[in-house]
Amino acid sequence: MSSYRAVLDVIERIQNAMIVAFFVLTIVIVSFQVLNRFWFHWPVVWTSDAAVLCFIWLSFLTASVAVRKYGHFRVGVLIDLPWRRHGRRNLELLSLVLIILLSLVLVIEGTRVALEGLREISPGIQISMIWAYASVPVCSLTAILFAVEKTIEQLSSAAPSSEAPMEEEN
Amino acid sequence: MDSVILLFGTFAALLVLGVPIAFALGLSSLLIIWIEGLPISILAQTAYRGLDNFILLAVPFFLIVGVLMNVGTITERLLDLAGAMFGKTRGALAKVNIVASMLFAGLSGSSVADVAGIGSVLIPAMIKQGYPRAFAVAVTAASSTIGIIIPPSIFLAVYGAVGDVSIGALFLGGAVPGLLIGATQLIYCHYLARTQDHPRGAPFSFGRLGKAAWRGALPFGVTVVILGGIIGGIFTATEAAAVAVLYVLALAGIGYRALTINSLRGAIMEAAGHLGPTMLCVAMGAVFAWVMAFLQVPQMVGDLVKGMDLSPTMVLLFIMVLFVIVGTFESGVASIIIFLPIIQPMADAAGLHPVHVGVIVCVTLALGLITPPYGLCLFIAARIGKMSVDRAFVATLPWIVLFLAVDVILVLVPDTVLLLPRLVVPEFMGG
Repeated sequence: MSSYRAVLDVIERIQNAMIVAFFVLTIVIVSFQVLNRFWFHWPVVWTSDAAVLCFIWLSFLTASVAVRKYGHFRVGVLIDLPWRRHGRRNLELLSLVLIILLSLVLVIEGTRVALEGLREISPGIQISMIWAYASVPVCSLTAILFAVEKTIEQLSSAAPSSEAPMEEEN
Repeated sequence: MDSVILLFGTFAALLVLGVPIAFALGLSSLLIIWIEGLPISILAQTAYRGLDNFILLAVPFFLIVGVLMNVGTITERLLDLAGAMFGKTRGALAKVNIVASMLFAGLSGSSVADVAGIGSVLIPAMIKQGYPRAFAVAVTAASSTIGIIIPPSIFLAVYGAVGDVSIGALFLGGAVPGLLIGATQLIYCHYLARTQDHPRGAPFSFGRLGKAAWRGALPFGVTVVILGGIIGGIFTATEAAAVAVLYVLALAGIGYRALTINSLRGAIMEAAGHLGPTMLCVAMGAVFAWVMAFLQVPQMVGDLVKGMDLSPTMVLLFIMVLFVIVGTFESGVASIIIFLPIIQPMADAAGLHPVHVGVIVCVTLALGLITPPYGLCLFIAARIGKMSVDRAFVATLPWIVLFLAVDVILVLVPDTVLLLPRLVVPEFMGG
């Protein structure tokens, strides 16, 4: 388990670095779009597509990391009840198994969609759409790895349990 | 009809079992896609397309503006400004809390940043000054809802993008409702301060107010950039939000010298922590909305409401009640994406103005931020105040009733929402 966790630590560090990079890139590209329109007047057609590409990666990367942090929003009706230890743990396990199930479907079907994207070219940035569509299967795969880690933690008796209701937008 | 019941039944069951909302949306949609014999690839395709929208980039930008305001001492300056306004009146610090939220709301589009930034300073300060703990938590949570109503607002930006309604008009439409909610909260706070003998503030001084106003003036450049840019047709909402990020970065980093590379990285990661769960809800919400459209749910609801022969006001009240319920269980952004296809035909058939409907929906969803089981601002405020969510909710109940009363007034008197956009941007308001 410790070596598995170490691998996931590396994956999370890489994802965090990508999150910072995509966040900064998105801001820079959109700001460039504004500056360009007002000052330079260059005909730029790639900024919107490039910014959206960064944003989509940013969204799926942050969603994947949130699985490891039990960071996804949920409604704590049953899970917050004063269960005996196993009641709460079983609900957590069910939740994790369902997260793995949906992520697995996204990996399989997302890969299919991404491969079809090989034939499509982004009109703005003139790159294959596989670079955009790949965000779904890649991040779903890491979400599965994180969810498996949490499942193992829940199954082992010394496992830390998740904190109740989680955080969002607004 | 069986599939519709199965879709909503599965979604509700998964939510109750504690499955994260985004995954509950995806799994219930997946079940219907599978049962109806549709290609499973719809799941991945529609989830991707749900995020493939330039306007949604405003969400991370507004989130990071809020976090940067907390990191970059801007929140402190707003608190000083609000604190200088009330002098020795009873309950001054509670009123400061509300006014600070209104000021914060004018700069940030996020209530979470509001409650985290203002609450972490004012809840401990209020408790130390002798306010009841539950009251300190309740007033902070309740006033944070204003953050998402007074423009800029993530909810209004997303509503405008998804519903094809002018975001500038929606932002202007949210201004008066936000101020009304703030004003009623101040009046209620004043009443409580007198009846419950809340502590007084420091003596008023024009010098202090002037100094605080001077220190707190520059951040309001963000409001000018966002509202001026969008309403003036200079920027799109996304571009305005990006320029606002640059402005706050320059102000906090160069002007106030309050940012380091590490704190900036921390701010990005904090915003990212909120972004991922929200955006997965949006992606899976798009799949859920697709499945609903496939099952013709919007038409069913539209026909149902038409059959009831309701007046426009009753239709809007119905929409309000729907979003009160939805908002207690769902993330606001996801609620907009999922339910907009249902309510829009209904509102159009009733002849309601889209800006009026949009503002009512977003104001009502703001209430969901302080109502369990999914009351995020309430959770954060309770956590800061070190009290249970149950007790915090009970203390917040009167504020919720107050909020609902204002919401009903906004429904009954459309000009509370529509007058300002009609005056400023008549070209976006139609006849």
